[in-house]
Amino acid sequence: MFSGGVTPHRAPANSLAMETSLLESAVSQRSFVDLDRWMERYQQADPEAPASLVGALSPALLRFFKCQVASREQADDLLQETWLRIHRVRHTYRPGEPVLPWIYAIARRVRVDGYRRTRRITAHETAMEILPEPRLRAEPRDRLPEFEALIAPLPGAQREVVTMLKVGGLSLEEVACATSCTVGAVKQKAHRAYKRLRKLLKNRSEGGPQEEDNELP
Amino acid sequence: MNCRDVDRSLMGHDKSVAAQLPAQVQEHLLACDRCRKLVRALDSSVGADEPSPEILRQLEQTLATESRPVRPLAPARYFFAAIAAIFVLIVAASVYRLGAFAISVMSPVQSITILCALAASAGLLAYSLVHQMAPGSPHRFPPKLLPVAVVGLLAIVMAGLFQFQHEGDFWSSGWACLRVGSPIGFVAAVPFWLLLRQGAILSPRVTGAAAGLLAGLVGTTALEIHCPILDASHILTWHLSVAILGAVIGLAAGFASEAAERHLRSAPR
Repeated sequence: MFSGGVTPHRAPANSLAMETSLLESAVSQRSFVDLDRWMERYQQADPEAPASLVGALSPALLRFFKCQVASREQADDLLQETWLRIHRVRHTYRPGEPVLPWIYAIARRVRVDGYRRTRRITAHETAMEILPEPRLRAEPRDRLPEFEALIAPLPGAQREVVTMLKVGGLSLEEVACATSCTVGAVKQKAHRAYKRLRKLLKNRSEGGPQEEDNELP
Repeated sequence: MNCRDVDRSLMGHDKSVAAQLPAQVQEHLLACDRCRKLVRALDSSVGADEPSPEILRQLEQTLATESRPVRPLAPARYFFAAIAAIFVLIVAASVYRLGAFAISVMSPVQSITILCALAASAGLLAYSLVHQMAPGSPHRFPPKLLPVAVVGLLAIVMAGLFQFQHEGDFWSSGWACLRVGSPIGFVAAVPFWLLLRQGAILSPRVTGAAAGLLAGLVGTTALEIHCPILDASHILTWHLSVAILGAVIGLAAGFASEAAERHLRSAPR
């Protein structure tokens, strides 16, 4: 069975860390192989495969959606929609190819469709009364924000790349495949995201203004 | 070691980044407050929300009960070969029926260059399309930009290769070319669509535009071999417009397909 996170690891410098990394690498490598194998079994209608895949991939997918959309309810809806779409197009997974870019390409598309749907619905809604703004919880300045809050001010494309790298555990090449971009474009987005995050964290610690340009999707 | 190197290092690490960063990066972190904060922040817990067990159970049951064996999509090279074969066959049949009058009036350089440019454009579009059929496939060129780039490059090649001459019957001869080329494009679009529907088209607009352009290029190629008018303005306006028309119709079909899918999804079950 899988662990929740399926992440590739790279070798560090010192020997202890290297040993740990090699061990983790072996575990995660096995997880990748397992995912591939479960996906093939899913295509062959193995009754155990859906549970294994859903159990292994859903936590990361939910976090991916939570980092991209505002509410938990929307993220839950998108998660279900993603699995239904994965089921419909499961024949398009080619055995032997990495599973994560395939899954995240579908999840990304579901998110874009979900965003368009939400935007269309909200465009037709009429505000009946103005609700009071929820009071923001004041966080101490020395405490670091949670990952979702940290990346929230980033533009959509940068947020997506950072989320896939950090939450989904995809490599640069896999993110490029999932987003139909080149590796160079992914690197550029990640660089810009990190640069902006540094600035945001600096502003935060100095008590400066926080950026709130929240582009979607 | 600078902040950019730290970024590069961060891109290679995913979870619990701080523990795995190379020694040089760790040294930089001791000196650079901004990078240290960034690494710590990225290392902070990603929202610990787990999917509801109820939702997971429902999903597992739905997927298990509706599960039937499926045959995986054939390798991309088969689809590429099929698209190339359709392209060549339809062009050959069209030229056989219409006649290859342009080849005799074009210089060898013009013939070879324009046909190579058209073949390369069709190859790029076919490569992009077969990769769009399987989600998560690698793309050497962004699929959204490719149709625009192909049209732009073909326009440059055509403008550079042929001379702008004064043509008396610009509209009538152009209309005749459009009437010949467009049906060829429509004929090509049918087998392309039959092939593409075997995959998962995640973005019907992008795929529609690329497939339409490829179908239109079949018509443009047939015209380039058939039409003896070598005026650059005629070729750019009328021959290339067959390909552009195909892309526009494909884009519109993609929009319509997305709208239909939205409608189906929002309809009460």
